[in-house]
Amino acid sequence: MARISVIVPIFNAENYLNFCLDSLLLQNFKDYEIICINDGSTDDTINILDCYSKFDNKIKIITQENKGYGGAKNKGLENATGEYITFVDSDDIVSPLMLKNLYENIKYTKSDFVFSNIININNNTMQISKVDFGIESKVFKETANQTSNCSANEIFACISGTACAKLYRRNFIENMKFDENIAYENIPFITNCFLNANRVSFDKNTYYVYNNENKLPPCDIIRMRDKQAEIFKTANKYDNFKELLFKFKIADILNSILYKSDLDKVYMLSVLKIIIANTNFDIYNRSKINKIKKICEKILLMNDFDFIKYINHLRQRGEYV
Amino acid sequence: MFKISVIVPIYNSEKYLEKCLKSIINQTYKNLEIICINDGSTDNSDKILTDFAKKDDRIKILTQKNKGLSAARNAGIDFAQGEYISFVDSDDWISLTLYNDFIKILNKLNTKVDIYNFNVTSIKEYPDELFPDTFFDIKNINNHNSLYTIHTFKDFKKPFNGNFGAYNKIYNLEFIKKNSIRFPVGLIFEDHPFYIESFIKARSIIINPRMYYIYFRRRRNNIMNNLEYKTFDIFKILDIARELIKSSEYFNYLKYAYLQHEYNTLSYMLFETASERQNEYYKQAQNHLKKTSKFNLDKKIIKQLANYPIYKDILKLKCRDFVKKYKCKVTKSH
Repeated sequence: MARISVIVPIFNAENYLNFCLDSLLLQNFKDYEIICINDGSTDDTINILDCYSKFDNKIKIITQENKGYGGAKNKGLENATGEYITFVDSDDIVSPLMLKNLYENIKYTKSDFVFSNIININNNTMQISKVDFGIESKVFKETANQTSNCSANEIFACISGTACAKLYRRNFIENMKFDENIAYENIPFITNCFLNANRVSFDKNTYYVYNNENKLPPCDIIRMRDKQAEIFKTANKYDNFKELLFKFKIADILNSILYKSDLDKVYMLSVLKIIIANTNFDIYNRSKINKIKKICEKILLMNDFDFIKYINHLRQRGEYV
Repeated sequence: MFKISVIVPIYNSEKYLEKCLKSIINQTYKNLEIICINDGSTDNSDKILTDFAKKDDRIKILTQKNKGLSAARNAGIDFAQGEYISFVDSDDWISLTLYNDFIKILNKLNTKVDIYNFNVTSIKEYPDELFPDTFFDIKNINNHNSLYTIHTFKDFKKPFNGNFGAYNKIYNLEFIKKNSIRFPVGLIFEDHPFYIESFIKARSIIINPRMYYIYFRRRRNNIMNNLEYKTFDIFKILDIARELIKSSEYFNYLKYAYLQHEYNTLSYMLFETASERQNEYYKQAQNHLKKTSKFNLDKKIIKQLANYPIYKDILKLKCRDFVKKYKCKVTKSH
């Protein structure tokens, strides 16, 4: 039984797969397996995987009919033998210290999972931007409880984005699966982790280089947070977190406007307008919501260039979450 | 489909040779000729080589008496039959899609190329840095604006700032042979003149900023032993390089950058030299730089040079004072 199982869901990744696997083979860590799920690729992926598994026997290949990343990750979970699990996307790269540091962290803090900072890179233009969550290394107890010691920024970091750049205790995620019918399959997974965790650790180092070339389409960005809200409701935690979830939704939209092409920008701005217009602000605690409401109203009156300046200004002040 | 000759010089490499060879025989691009030059190894290297050759008939073994890395690589160039040649050091390994991605780019651009330059992950055997130095160096790689397009040496903003190694390039064999570009035998820093000569004479250079070569920063078994006593080779090497540049069509364009390069290299090597020989090295360095100054530089350039105190100081200060002043700065900047 390996100490860590690294699960890599792969679909038509011939352009970048080798860099991902190279970085996984350069870990300063012993005794881990790299489970590559070939999710029905039709390009040179299977050839690259074959060559890598001959090169290093830490690499294990499972091929299946195309099911999507959710289905691929589930297959990985079924076949993982490690005490701890981590996910790496096939077009990303990781630091040689990732497994060692996250492993030592989770062992020392006895956490259910540990997560860390991320660098964004566009693999095509090679533009780099850091996704610093702007929070310090810390251990959080019972993240889903109101009495927990989590700030808004910390919660945002925990339940946003990706299931990657995290190390999970296998027993903790034993019965969790990825939804195989949605494109944003990470969101329900990491939401459930957040709701069920007794202890969560954050390591503020950056170990993970995330390719943001193929971000989710605009409609999924909105659906993600709605889905998240549903999960909170089912867990009877929605009331405590509803203002934050609303803020996170707006933050996602604003973030996506920053990174998207001009056509999508216009679309997302109009989406923002509609959301604000249709939101019943009465269900929220006014004092918690006012700030974000004012920011949105301000933005809707701005032109494109000023808006970007304004967002960056807010971010530098750690503001809009 | 082009054949690529992979040249692997081997000297007492038993510890890492297997991994190196595995990364070559498992390349996704199969049309390779794998030339292993056993440079008089006294360990198990030859057994490892013959075992591999039994399993893969692309492997060709050349055995010679110990003559050094330059002679081994030159032997590989002489033996090679492929259209392109690639050098891999026996301590390292290469990403498995290196050659396939190279051929893909050639096909896309529908061209031959004299030199294909890719990037290196430089890593310790037991890494302790979050990301290797070169990792976010993408913008710095030879300071190009556009990648995957054809350049000549003239397009480089910082022509002497790149990696001088032979192992992160793929060379057109006809180009190398026609220009008789070889490694200088009997000297270390042999990559240096090979780099300069090949880049000056190349009609087309393609840059891929991605890291395909995994270079391990560990005590290399062969040449770099006792580096601290061998740094004096750098003077002969720089002489060779200076002649190459002087006789090239890019001379006027390169001379300032080259002069800067000489100052930087000589300063850096001072700190690699054994302390008991540093005085001797320093005097030789000063003499060398005084010769180079007669490079026909115009007044503007001499003025610019004066802005960098290191250039003034190396000619003026005593060795002991120079070492004191520049110890931290020089070793860091490299």
